Amino acid sequence: MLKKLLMSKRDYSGVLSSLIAIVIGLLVGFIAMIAVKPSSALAGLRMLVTGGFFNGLTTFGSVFFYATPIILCGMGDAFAFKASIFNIGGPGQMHIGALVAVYVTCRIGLGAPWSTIVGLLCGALAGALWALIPALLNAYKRVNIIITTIMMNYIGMYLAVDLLKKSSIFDSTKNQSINVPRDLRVARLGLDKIFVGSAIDCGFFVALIIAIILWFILEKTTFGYEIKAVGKNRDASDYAGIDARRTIVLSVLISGALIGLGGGFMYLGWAGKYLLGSNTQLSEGFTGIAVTMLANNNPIACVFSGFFLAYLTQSGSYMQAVGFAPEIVKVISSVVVYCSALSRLVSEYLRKRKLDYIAAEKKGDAIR
Amino acid sequence: MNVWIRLIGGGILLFFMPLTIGGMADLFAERSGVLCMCVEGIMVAGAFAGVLMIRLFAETMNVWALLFLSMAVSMIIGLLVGLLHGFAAIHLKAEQNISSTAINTLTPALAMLISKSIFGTDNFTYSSNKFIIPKVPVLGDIPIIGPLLFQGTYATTYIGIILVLILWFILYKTRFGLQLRSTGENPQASDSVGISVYKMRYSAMMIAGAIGGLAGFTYILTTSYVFMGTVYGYGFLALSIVSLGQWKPSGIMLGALLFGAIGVLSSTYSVIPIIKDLPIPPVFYSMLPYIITLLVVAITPNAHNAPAVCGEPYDKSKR
Repeated sequence: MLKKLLMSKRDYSGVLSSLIAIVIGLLVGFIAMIAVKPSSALAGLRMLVTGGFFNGLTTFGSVFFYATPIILCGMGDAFAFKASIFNIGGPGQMHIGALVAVYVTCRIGLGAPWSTIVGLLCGALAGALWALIPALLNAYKRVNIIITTIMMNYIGMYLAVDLLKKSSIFDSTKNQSINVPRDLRVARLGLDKIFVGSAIDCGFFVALIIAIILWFILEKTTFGYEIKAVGKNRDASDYAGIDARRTIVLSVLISGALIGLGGGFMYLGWAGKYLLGSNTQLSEGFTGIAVTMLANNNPIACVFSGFFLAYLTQSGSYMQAVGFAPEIVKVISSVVVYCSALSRLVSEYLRKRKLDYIAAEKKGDAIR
Repeated sequence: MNVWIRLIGGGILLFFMPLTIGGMADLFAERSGVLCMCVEGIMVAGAFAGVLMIRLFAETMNVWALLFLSMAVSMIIGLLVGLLHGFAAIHLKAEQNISSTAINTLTPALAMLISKSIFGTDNFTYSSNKFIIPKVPVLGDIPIIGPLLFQGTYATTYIGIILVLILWFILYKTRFGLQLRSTGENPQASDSVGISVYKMRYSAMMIAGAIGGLAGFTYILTTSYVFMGTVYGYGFLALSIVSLGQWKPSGIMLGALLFGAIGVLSSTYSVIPIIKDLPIPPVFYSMLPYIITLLVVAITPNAHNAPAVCGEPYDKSKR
């Protein structure tokens, strides 16, 4: 079996290392549950696996809703990671994008579909703008983008909360943003007839289309080739005539736009999520890193890994029922990221096995 | 006047100490050649472990025994987290940015998980007043310096100062420190003269983890009374101080002093007479430490003093 997989033309090492990461992640989650509360650890594990269907299709439909922002965020991260730029500014870019998207949608007054569309596009633009400073600093001065994006996360959080409180979309009695009018929320296209009572909307399918576009850009266009070349070796691609600085800035801007768009979808949906008036970062921005790590930075794979992590998150929201905090899912996704840092180890091992097989086969030929 | 000196001076000291120790943690890791973007995660782990001890044993233990216990626990937990990063970075040759990010998200999640299972909430309070030394005999009576440094200061501040001196001595005046620094400059050459690169880097990560944990604990103990699963990005501030200080302890201390002053401004602007009346929105002061960090990393010249192989896994056969 392993031999067959190894000898096939396609490279399965990425998939395999992702699966290993998931298994280790779930295992560590299970161990953490045993450590915290041994008596209900098994019930917790069962809830983690089946929680996405807790209320049948209603719960499962909402998984699509929760998947949309983290898939978009994951694809955004992936796009920058392809250029070897570690944009971990997800929380900040998402916060600013979400605020702008909700504000424009509620206040622009273009009527049903256009307000939402313009709002989402403005959210994407805001997310891109929030990524601009780290992008320029990295492209022109090679400043460590981890530090700059983390700082932009904190600045973005304080700014978004402050602006929200001063804006007309703030409900001061509840300390959160106002209800988005029903007709201005993301269209559901009749999907709520199938998944009755769930928060599903067309966002997931928008993410799917964007994934295909991104894959096309990365695999079939010059720009995509330039991004990957810069990611492999910045100086060499500069020498070869690629404008590395421009490529880096563009890739980070696109990354920020996707993340901002994800923020828009999260707060213009039907799940009753509100922008809060308290200083908390949007943790979905960090989940995006786990999404892209599991997907080996492949935008189409991001759809699957994002759906998987959204399923876990949905299960996590029912974990309280068996006595565990929903944070267990964050523990699992962090472990997944940690394990995917080790993917080089897995692919090296698999290559070695493959070479062994090839050597063994050649030997067989010689004897014959 | 005396009140102001105490408020500002004491405040600077509160931010200065954890930032210096956190910076020293990063310095040890990077000098040995391991990129350690996970100081934040280590600080959260240490802070959580330390204040958890204080919360759990506040009534039953003697004050100084409790302080000692909390510091020890925060260092041990920090050391374990440091080892986790070390294992990925040194033995498994992982992408060090990614494993750092994993640790930065892992430790807050674990802290929240444990906190919820013990207290039922994702934050908990603790009291730290009893660790304040009201007045150091003799030294506290010196004018200006007395009220500034030796009155009403947390015991952890003095321990921190001693620790920084010890760490400086280890890194620059001992054989171990020289070997450690050599593995960050040219590991192949170090190996050829019989220094085990792996051993040096693991020791560096253990030290970095332990003092990083302590930095988190002293920060959260002295500047807050509630732990919410975060150290508010101060681990990253420590990182930027290291590059600002050009990978030297003296530079780190100067940088920490600057950021200490900014930290005080951002937390006490509403009671300082002149600043209070300026037409600047309050949210600006909350953002200030992060804005300044951004500016600092933007204007710091490219690091020619940085360790030569920082972030590169050790490859024996490379020349």
